[in-house]
Parts: sequence; C-alpha cells; structure tokens
Amino acid sequence: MVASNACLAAYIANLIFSEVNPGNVWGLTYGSIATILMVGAALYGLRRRTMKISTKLGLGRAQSWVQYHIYGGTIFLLLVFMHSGFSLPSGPLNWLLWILSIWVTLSGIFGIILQKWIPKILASGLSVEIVYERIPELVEEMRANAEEVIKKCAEPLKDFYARNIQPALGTPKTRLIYYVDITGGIQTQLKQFEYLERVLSNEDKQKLQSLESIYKTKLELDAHYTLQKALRVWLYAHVPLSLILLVAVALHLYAVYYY
Amino acid sequence: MSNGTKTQIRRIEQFRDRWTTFGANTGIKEISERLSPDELRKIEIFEDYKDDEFLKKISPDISIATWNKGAILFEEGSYIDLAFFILRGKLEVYIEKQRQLKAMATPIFDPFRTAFKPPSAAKKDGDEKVAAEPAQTFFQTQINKQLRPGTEVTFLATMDFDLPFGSEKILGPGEFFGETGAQIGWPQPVTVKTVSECVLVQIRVPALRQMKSKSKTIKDRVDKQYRETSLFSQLKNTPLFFGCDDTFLEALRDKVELVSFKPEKVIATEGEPASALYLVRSGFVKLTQKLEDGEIVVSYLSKGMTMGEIELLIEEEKNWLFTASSVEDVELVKISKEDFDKLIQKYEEVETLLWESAFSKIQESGYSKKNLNYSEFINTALLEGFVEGNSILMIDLNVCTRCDDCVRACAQTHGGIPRFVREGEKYNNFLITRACYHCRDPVCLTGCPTGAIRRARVGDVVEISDKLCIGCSVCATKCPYDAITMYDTGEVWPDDALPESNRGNDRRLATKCDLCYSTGHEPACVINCPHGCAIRVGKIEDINELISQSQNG
Amino acid sequence: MNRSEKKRKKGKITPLGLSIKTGYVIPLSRRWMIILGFIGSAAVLAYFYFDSEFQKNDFISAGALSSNHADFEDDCISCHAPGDGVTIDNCSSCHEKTSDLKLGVYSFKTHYLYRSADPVRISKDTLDKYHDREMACGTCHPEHMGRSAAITRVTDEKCIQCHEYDSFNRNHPEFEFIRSSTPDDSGLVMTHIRHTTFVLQKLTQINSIDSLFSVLKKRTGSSEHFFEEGCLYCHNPEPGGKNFMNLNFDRNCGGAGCHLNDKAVEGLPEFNPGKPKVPGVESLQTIKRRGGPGVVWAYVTNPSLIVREDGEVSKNPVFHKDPWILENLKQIRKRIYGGKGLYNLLDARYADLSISQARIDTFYSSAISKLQVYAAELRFRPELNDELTKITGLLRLARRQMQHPGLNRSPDAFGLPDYNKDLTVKERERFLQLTNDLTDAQGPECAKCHLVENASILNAQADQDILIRAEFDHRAHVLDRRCTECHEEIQVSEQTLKMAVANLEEFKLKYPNVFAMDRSATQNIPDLESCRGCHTQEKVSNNCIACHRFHPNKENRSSLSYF
Repeated sequence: MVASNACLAAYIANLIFSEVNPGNVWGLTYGSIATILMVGAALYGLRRRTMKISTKLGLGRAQSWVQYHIYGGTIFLLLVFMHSGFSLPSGPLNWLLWILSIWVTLSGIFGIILQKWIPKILASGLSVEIVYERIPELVEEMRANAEEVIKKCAEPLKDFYARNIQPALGTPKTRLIYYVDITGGIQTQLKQFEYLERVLSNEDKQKLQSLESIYKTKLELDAHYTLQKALRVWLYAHVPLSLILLVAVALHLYAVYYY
Repeated sequence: MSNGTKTQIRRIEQFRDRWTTFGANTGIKEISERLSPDELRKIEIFEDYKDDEFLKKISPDISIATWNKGAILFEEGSYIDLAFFILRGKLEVYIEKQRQLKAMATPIFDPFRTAFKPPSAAKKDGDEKVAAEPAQTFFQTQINKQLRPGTEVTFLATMDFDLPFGSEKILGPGEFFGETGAQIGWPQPVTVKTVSECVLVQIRVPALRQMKSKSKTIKDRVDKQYRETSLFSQLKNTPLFFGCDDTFLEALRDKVELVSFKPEKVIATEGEPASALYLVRSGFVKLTQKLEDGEIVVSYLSKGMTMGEIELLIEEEKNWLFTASSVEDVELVKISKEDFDKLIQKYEEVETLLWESAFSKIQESGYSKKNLNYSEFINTALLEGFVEGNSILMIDLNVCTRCDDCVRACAQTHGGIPRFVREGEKYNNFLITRACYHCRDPVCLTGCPTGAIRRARVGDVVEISDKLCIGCSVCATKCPYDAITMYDTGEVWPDDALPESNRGNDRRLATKCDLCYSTGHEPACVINCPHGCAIRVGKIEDINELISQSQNG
Repeated sequence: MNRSEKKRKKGKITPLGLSIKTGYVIPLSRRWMIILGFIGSAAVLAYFYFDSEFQKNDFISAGALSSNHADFEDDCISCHAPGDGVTIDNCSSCHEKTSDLKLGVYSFKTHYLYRSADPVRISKDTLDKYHDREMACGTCHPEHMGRSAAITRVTDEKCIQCHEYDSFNRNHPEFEFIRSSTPDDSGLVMTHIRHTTFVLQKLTQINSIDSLFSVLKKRTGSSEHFFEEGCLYCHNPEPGGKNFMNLNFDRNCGGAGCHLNDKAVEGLPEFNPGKPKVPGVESLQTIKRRGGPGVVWAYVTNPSLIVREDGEVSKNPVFHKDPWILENLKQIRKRIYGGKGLYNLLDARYADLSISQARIDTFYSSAISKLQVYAAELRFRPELNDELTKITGLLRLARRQMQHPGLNRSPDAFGLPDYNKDLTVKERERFLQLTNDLTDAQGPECAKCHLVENASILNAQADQDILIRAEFDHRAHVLDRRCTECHEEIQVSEQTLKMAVANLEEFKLKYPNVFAMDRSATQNIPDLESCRGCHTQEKVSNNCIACHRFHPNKENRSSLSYF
C-alpha cells in the first residue's frame, strides 16, 4: 500500500516536472522497476518448484514470498501504467505486453479473492475436510456403502434410493450453487427423507438415516469438489500467461536495447 | 557364492547397521560380532535364559563393545535406545549442563531453592528456550543446528540416576544402566563417560523388552532400580511435592505401590470416598464429571501429575470429585490414604506445603463443570491425541487454499515421496493432519522388532531408519493417529534380506514424518506454506489458544 | 448427537467413517500449467521469428510510423542500427547527404546554427551531456506514434528538458534587443513623421496639412493610424509577406523621384556616364547594367558584413550597398590600414587591429571559406554563372595572396574600376574630399542621410529578422493590426505631427523622447510582454515551435543567407 502510494505520488510529482513516456528517463525508471518487480514475483513460482533447495538454503518462508508476490505484482501493474504514461500502447508486442500485464495481475487479484473467500466458506459450512484428489474414490466408497445398506430393505426405500440418491452418488459433481450456498440447498433436499421416514419400519428408518448421512456427506464432497476445483483452475488463467508475459518482456527488452 | 554365505554376510552387515546407527560416536574401539547363545550365557545378565532359540532371536540386538578411555557414551538430553551392562572398566556419570538447560529436574538440584513456587510456574521452567541459554555445549549446538532458534524444546529427564547436581558417580563392572530411558524413550539426564577402557554389553530396546518379559529376575532388577533411583526423583519432581524434605520423600518412596491400568479402566469414581493419592508414571488419565444425565471431561492427567491430594487434604471433600479413567495403558504410583495420613502427621511442615500446593492446583485447573467449551476441547484433545503430540501439524482451514504445497515440500525434501497425508479429522477450523505427532510417549516404538523406529538422539523427533525397517507394519498398526504409512518402494526384498520371509516380496517400508530432522531444517511443510496456515503445535495450551483465536477471528 | 462422544476410529476419517488413504496422496501435477506457459511462450517466440524472417517484422515494432516515414515501415534497419538504436547517421543518410537545397528544410546545418551559437540558454546538464555529441533526432521527434502522428510537432515538454524555461508565458526571457537595449541602428538620418507626411501629401495630392489629416481621418477613422499608408509607401512587403523588403535607394529613395536629381527634396547629383570624371550617385540599376566582375558579388554578398562572433563567422545582410560606396570605402580603408590583404573586403569595425597578423590571417581565411560557400550556394542561378566563375577565381587568388604575401597582383584583380586612374588633380581632390567627408559624421554630403561610424557607412536598414532565434511573420499579424498598434512608439498626436512638419527643430527640442527619428527606436519592436497579450495558453498558440524552429527552411532562414 505504502509502496503503491509512493509510486503514484512519484508519478504525480513527475507529471508536474515533465512528460512521462516509455522513452524518457522517468518512463525507463518505472519500466526497470516494473521489470525487477515482475521477475521477483515470478521467482516465487521458481521457489515453489525448488522447495527442497530453497528450504535448505533458508530462503525465507513461502508466506513472505507470497506477500511479496501479491504486493510486488500489484505495484508492477501500476508501474506498467506509469511506464506507458497511462496511455494506450502502440505496436503489437506492446499491446500484447499491456494486455498480458493486466490479465496476469487481474487474474492474480481474482485468485487472491478466491483464496480468501473459498477457504472461509469451506471451513465454516462443511463438516468434513477432504483432499481433492481423493474425492472420486471416496464417492465410490460411499456408493458402495450405500449399495450395501440398500441391499435388504423395503421397496419404497429401494425405490426412493434409485430415484433420489443413486443419481447423486454417481460421480463428483460440479454445482454452481455452492458458490452461493455452501450447503447446496441441503435443507430442502432433506425434506424428502423426512417425508419418507413416516412410512418406513424402524429398521428401514435406521437405514434411511445412514443413507441420509451418506447423502449429506456426498453433497459436502461435491462442495469440496466444486470449490477446490475453482482454487486450482484459476491458476491456469494466471500461470501460463505469466510465463508468456516473462518471455514477452524479455522480447521487449531485446527490442528496446537491441534497436 | 552360495546363498547361505550371502545371507551370512548380509546378517553381519545388518548386525553392523544396528550398531553403527547408534549415534555418531567415535569412542568405540571395537565391536563384537554377533554373539552365540553360549557366548551370551557367559555374561551375568543372560545366565537365566536357558532357551537357545530365544537367545538367538535377541542376539542381533546385543553386542559387546570396547570403548576407548575418555569416550562419551551419551550426553544429557540425548535419547538412547540401549541399555549398558559393564563387563570391565569404569565409567563416570555426571551432570554438566543440567542447570543450563533448566530441564524439569533443575529445581530439585538447586541447593538454594527454598521459596515456594506454584506448580504452574515450575512447569514453565521446564520449557525454557534452549537458544536463550548462554553457554553452548556440544549438545546445545547440535540442537541449535537442527532447530530454528526459538523452538521450544522440552526435556523431560528420566531418572536412571539419582544424582545431585555437580556431583558424580563412578560405575564399575556388574552395573546395569540406561534401561529406563531406553525403554520409555525419554532423554537421559546425565552424561556418561568412560574413565578407563571399558568393555560393555550393549542391549538394544527390542532385546531388552523381550528379556524383561522372559525373565523375572531382570524385571525385578529393573523395577527395583526404578524404585531406588527414578521413583525418588520422580516424586521429588512432582509439582505437588516441590520443596518437601528429602526424608519425607524417602519415607514416601518406601510406602508407594506401583499400579498399572489397561485402557478405559476406571481408576476412581466420582462420589466414592477417596482412598489414595495417585501419581502418573506414564500414560494419560481422563477426568470426567457428571453433568445432568451425561458426563463431561474436565481435565486429564499426564506424566508427573497427581490426583487425590484435594480429597485427602480437605476435610469437606472426602469423596472423589471426578471419575478418573485410563485413556490408554497407564502406570501409576499409588499412595494409600493411610500411609499418606501417617506421613503427614509425621512431617507436619510438609502439610502446609501440600496445602498450598493443592490450593493453587484448585485455582489453576479449576475442576469446574462450568466450562463446556473447554471440556469439549479436552475431550477432543484426548481423542485426537493433542495431549500426546510434541509437534502436531494443524492446518487453519479458514486460510488454507488446498494448494498442497506442504505436501509437495514434504515430498521434495524426502526424495519425492511425501511423509504425511493432508487429510484427517476437522476440529473447529483446523484440520489435524495425518503427520506424525512425535508423541511424548510414542506407542509405535514399543513393538518394533528391530528398533528401526526410535527417538532421534535429540529433540522429540521420532524417526524410522530405512536400513533397519523390515516392513512388518507393527508401528503403523500401533499408531493411533494413522500417521505411519506403509510405503511401497517399488522394489523387491533382495535374496539375502532378513527376515527370510521377506525375500522376494515387495519392499514396503514404514515411513512417516521426521520433522525434517534428517535434512536439518525446520519442517518444510511449515516453511513452505504460502499462507502460513500450516502450524506445528506441541502443547495443548497452544492448541487451545490457537483454536480460540481462530474462533474469535 | 454430541460430537465429543465420537470415538476416534483408527483407519477412518470423517464422521461417516470413510477409510483413510493407505498410501500417500501425491498432489496432482501442475506440469500442464507450465507446459501451457512454455507452449504459449514458444508460440510468441516463434511468431516473432517468423515475423522477423518472413514478414514485415512489425511484431516488435513500437507502433506505426508516421506517414512521413511510412515507406520504411518494413525495413527496420534502414533507421535502427542494431545494438545502437536510431543513430543520427541513419537519419542524415536521407536528411543531410541528399542535397539540402531541396530537402534542406531538414538539414542539420540549420539545426547547428541555432544550437551552437548559444550555450547560455541551455541547462548545464544538457550542455554537459551533449557538449561533444549530437542529440539523437528521436529525442525531439519520436517515431512509432501512429501513422497520423506529426513528428515535426515538437511539444514544449521536449524543449524545456534542455532549456530552462517553463513556457512562453512563464520565465521566457525578454527579446535580446530589448534586454540589451541596443539602439536600432537604421543608419539613415531621416524623420519618419516628416517622411510619412510628405509621402501622404504626395499620394493624396493634398498640400494643406489640415485637410490632409481630416481626409485621412475620414478614411481610417482613427487619427493614430491614418498614416499607415505612408509606412507602406516605403516599406514594401516581401512577396511572402513575412518581412518587408529591404530599403533600396533606387526604389525607395532615388528611384521614386525624391532623392535623385530632385532639387525639392535634397536630391543628389546623378552620375553621368558621359562625364565620368564628375562625381555623382550611380543608381543601382546603372551599376548592375554596367556589370563587371565583382559587381554582382558585391551586390549580392556584400563581404563587408562578414562578422566574427565567438569564433564563428557569419554574415549580416544588407542590400543597399553599391560599388560606388564600396570603392570609396576601399580608398578610405587603404589610407587607414595600408594596402594589406583583403582590407577592401572586410569590415574594419570588427577587425581587431591590435591582434596579431596570424589571427587576422586566420580570420581572413575563414572569411574566404565562408564566401566560397556563399558562392557555391549561388550555383543554381544560371544568370550568375559567369560572375561566379570570376568570383571563385578571385577567392582563390585572395587565398593565394594570403598564403604568399609577396605575390604581385594586378590592380584590378578585384574587378573594380580604378577611379583614380583617369582623374585630373582637381577631380582627384574633389574625390578625396568626398571620401574624406565620409569619415566625418558631420560631413555635409553623405552624412546628410547616412550615418557613418568608424569609416563605414552604417546599414541603411537594420536586419528585419531582429529575432535571432525565432521567426516572426508579418503577414500573420497585419490582418487585423495596424502597424502602429505594435510599433507604437511613435505616439504622436495630430498637434505634434503638425508641429513636426512645420518646424522640425522646435519639435525635436520639445519632444526629445518621442523624437521619431533615426537612431532612436525606429522599428519600435514591441517587447515580449506585448506578445503575451495574445499568445497565451487560452488564446493564440504559445508553444515553442510557434516561433522557434530548429530546422527553418531556406526561405525563412533569415539569419543565414540573403539573395
């Protein structure tokens, strides 16, 4: 925050003295700082992939790196704008750089929002915590359990299972409702169970109850599946393009210094 | 080369492995080959064992080592998995760093300590930060190398030797030492150094356990030794008896009874008349109270804690205030009401001390039915083993983005294979991962046939030696927290592998978190968590605070 | 159900009791993320390579070139020197090496003219930075700003990076001639008021001054501006209208019938070719018609006005200069300086006589070089070719003379008539008297009209381009401005005018300050502040390039050459 304010202040002070464009001293300074910040931010990606060495060398906690990654990256975009004098770029490469910078930074900010928001709803709304990679096999296991339960029971329950539960236990499902309601509207869905309970024998009631808890857990797993997926997928919007940005910046530097 | 010879060579190698893995000491001049049953029976302590097969079975864990003059066997604070029997030569036992380390025993050895100190404060004494200590001994530098400054290390000393601070003791032929620490897996309180060239029989824990179960003589010997040395120290070390006169404690020692309970046995029942004072030697005791129709957990007792003093001392509370039941295998020291009363009458000045101690204990722990939250927490703590763990990896799910960097970091520091699974029970906003807790009282250690799983020499780290592990999965089965995983290396046990039943089978090894002890840095999972939500906690108070902090935002 | 009552089940997780993972969960690989990144990067690089090898290579271009350079769009290295940026050499390969006569508008020489002359107006940093090298063209003319960008429109921001002024309206220094209050040496003894009145009388054929004024007042509606027509009688605008034509004796003084053979207005005797021995004034037309080597040269280039300033040699223009005067001056100088070197070519005003011969020689030789350059510049005028051949020869001769002082030279080496040769003693005396008069400022003949200083007749009309660093265009200003609105120092009422006409002596005594006469501020150049009345941010353009140009084109290079 302080740094970005300082940058803006520098820029405004700068405007009073002289014009800022990529060619003059000010523009070049901003451009250089932006490049350094960007490379620094990109180093976090490198650190993630060399955790053994970085840990051994004591290169600091990942948390500090992330802090730098976030703030450095945001200020990077600001500096990019300052570098171009808050005007639109010209030339295909410059357009590419401009768009990539904005995209990478914005997707990063979007990621931060996701990372702040999703864990909160996952932690507060759900009773289980599941490793994303295990969800399919757990769903499988639950379905097996459910089939086991349903083997010997009355027709209405079997029917109910076939109609209402079995389809849900098929595979992990991505349901957008979890973004709005982490319970996935479970209360309304459990109404069906309540109604059915009235007509069942005591033994079947117990079975229904265990089915109900399996069903509930499945919904939670779906929530995990949906939301944890979002936490993973956004990286695909961020990381590949940031790599391209790195290359484009290198090309830009080459173009500027070679020509 | 015939298969038999190959196996023999393998046996010799494996035998050597067991001994070379014992620390980095260079003091050993010579180490014997594996001993035959006949050779073993020549040694005093093995005289009782007539069964050749048995001796053969334990012989890989026994060796005769010749130590140089002036060599250090082990230092204060280090873990050993050996017991020693002296054949020849003399050894010096002394305490050098006890005061600097401020281990739990320190106050006892401090001759100037007279003023009363409440137990809570005394307890804190045991948790001094090592890094803050001025004098750097070999041992401390070793620790500092391996642990980040500021890491709290608790040294709980076993009392193999009842040795006043600054004094020393000479051990000679025929003496047996080190077995208590080795057995319980707690650090040594003393340093042992050879005075002259010594020949020692070294017995590793697996052999020791079997010997103990097989021969009453050895068991008696061990128990007797415990009573003579350790018990006195432990009594003295008990917060309740802080400041009590030595004569009182000696008298007490002679009266006590050693009792043990299986898991989930009731030791005392709420409302029934209190008949004894209990002191916990090992294991955990759950204290519950009735509330309405059910009952709630109010507290727990762990090693060194006492119960019954309130009931025995305070006239109005003659009945047990709570129900005490064992959580697991529990060993207790029992002092009956009669003995206690007699002693109190005899040593009147002690009574005042006990009163104050008991009173502050009431204030401190507040046996109260009011705090349901805390009760739930204690219950979970007992269920999930918070009370056991020296270093539990907890993840703040409010912050965790499930990026799996902790697992990746773990994998990268351990040759591509992670050492824990990021799943487990969810408690409040925290995930209690299936990473080794590094328990205070590691049950996994007890069943290992080769002693591959053991305490690392310093700190609380429990590690598994790849070389010694034979993949029997006893430890994995024993671990209550599913923290040990049988990992399939993808290899096959070689033809000369031992035991022979392994040969040709898939080479599966027990693996688990070693707190990055082997790589010598802070746990990689914590360092590499991008959001700082992977936390290692070792004390139940810390866990409680962590959770309440998280709940309060 | 009380959650706390739940028993921990080994090997199970979640309240549902799902089984734990027996092995380790290896996190999903994110290799694809990186692979995608590499693929994208490779694609960018590949496109770059493809573009640079097979296409226009405009991928890394910073934008479209201006229409001026659009032809080079596909050819980066025609401007960009790899590793060295856009060098001046690359610019000059078109803008300098091609003859600057047609493309001269872009010539760097003109750039240097302004730049080198005046270090005081540049910030010290810039001076330090550029003292030994030229500024890259792109400094002021950034390219790649789009096809429609006007790269010649240099913004003020560019200028003030080196020049320490904020803008025209802030911190801009006052015109130098105002600052130094240099007298505007018109070199003529005349009164504008009287001239104007007489001219107007002549134009309107109204002799009575009273009725003249009332007629003019009726016509113009303003008593202050009524004699503008009188101004224009002598000051004729140039064809472009930027400046006024230089005053010309033939056209403005003699040829108009006033000062040649006209007894009424102090007319001079005209030189009679039939009586060549009688001194008189030859009209310039006559001189030109007569021709002869050096005549055109003298007429065109007037070497007497080569001046040396700060080690640089430059030349001021004056048209009204005839060989007759020159000849006289030659005689005078010969007397003063002896017959050495190019005494007759160079103005004694600036020749420091106390300095060593070597320095004078250096000065001369640079003067000759300059003249050679001027001569070369006249090559495109075919009608002067003969003359130029002679001039070139002369200059060679002059150089040889300098290098070999003992060399004999013919009397008319410079192609001027030797008037002394055919004169009688009496005539010679008369001639000498006449030339003597020239040396005396109070002399009766020449000094009646001309001011003389240091044995030189001063320029009849000073350089109109008195702004040495800026350009001023009269045409743009006269549309709705009267002459006197800017040149307003002649603030005289009808009353004073009448007095000036009736009795000049009395007028001079009474109004010494508004004495609108030569040697006072006849041009009445307004100061900077008066410009700012219109040229402000809000009104008329006030940016630097409105007045200043680094590369003035030939016609407007007022400070450079005159034809």
